[in-house]
Amino acid sequence: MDAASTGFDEEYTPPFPWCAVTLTDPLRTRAISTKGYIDTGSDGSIVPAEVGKGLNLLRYPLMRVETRGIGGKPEDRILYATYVKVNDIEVAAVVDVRDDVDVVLLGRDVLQYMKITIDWKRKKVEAADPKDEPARAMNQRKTLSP
Amino acid sequence: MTVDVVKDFQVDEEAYRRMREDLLKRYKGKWVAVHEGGVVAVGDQLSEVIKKAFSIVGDSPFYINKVGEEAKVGRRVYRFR
Repeated sequence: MDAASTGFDEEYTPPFPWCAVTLTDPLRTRAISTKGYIDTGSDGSIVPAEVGKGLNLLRYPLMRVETRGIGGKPEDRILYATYVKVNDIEVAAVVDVRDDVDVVLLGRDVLQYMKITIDWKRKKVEAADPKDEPARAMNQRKTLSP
Repeated sequence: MTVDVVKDFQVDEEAYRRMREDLLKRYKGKWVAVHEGGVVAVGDQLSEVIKKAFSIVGDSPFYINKVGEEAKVGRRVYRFR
């Protein structure tokens, strides 16, 4: 993942880390690429209504949940299926399509499938597939062996 | 969301509720996808079950939940909003 596909949005205080994400409808006929803001504090991911409409996600309801923000009132919501791709990692997820957000928020439902490294000091974000880690470690061991 | 999609979703949701006792005996702790009154996919990971279910039912809607942990997975807290 190159630097252009990750970053920190300085519009927020403190800056909000993001990575490039491609959202696809379940039939893989439509795709939208945008910034996915890394929201480790959220149980689930949120997609703006505009993106949901562009992908026709309301065609694919999968689950009903009770959602709430901190200190907010609970809401009964239906979640919709979508594919979320970050780097080479593709996750099938159920997302909340909302008209009161204007960015894609990646919650722990999606982030749990990735190794996310956020280096605030160097302003660097990395998203990797955890499955690649053992292979890399093995290669390093091989290199180090006499 | 069209009326038909809502209706189909609610039918599958209701079918899950009716089948829950049986699902608890067979699939406790698993993610289960229900379509037209039957289980179409089962697994440990939500992502894997969604992919499997779509590969089977195609464009048709289905309902998904985690057997025995409905209350836990049925709550979502957003910190940012």
